Amino acid sequence: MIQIAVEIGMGMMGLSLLLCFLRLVVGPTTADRVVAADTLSINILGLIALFAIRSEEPYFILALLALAILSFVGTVVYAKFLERGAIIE
Amino acid sequence: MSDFLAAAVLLIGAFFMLVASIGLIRLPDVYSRMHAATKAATFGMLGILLAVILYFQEAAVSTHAILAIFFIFLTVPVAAHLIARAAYRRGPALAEVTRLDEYGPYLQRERSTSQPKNDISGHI
Repeated sequence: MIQIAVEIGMGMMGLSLLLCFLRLVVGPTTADRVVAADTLSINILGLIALFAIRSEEPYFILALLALAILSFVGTVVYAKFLERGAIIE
Repeated sequence: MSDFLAAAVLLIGAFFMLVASIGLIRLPDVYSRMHAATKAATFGMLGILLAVILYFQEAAVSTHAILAIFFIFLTVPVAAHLIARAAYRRGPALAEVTRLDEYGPYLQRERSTSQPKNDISGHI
């Protein structure tokens, strides 16, 4: 039951990753690309959670936490770079 | 029973992640794209992590998953706010259908009254 749901969910998330990647490539402005990269990393977090259910290995949730922190820091750094043109002043 | 519930919540979460990405493609403007992407993706992560909690049903895993939900709900709106502010200050590329722009007059007032040096040192 849940294995079928995980497979369907992984398909949907894969399609979602593809759409985010399309926006990352064609995005007209830099802010569009940053938003697309942020959504891409959240999608990867969801895929890690689905993979934890699929392989019945709950310790992937710890990897999810670490990647969430890294993606937040990356997005903040990109926003600061967009606003000022420098990361460390 | 909880298996069925976990599958349902998981499918709802994955559907919302897909909706977030479709909005990222379809909407006309960087601000509306950000609105779609952050709200729907946050809700989708809530669904998927609730499915993790319902499937494993162990105390340690549930603690980590609740911590992840809390962290994502805390950080994703902050990141979206920072990107929106940076994008507007860099050059407001609003869509043609925009009716109301409240930040533009405020930003002009702030730039005309304050010195450039204060403008840099006032924020992080």
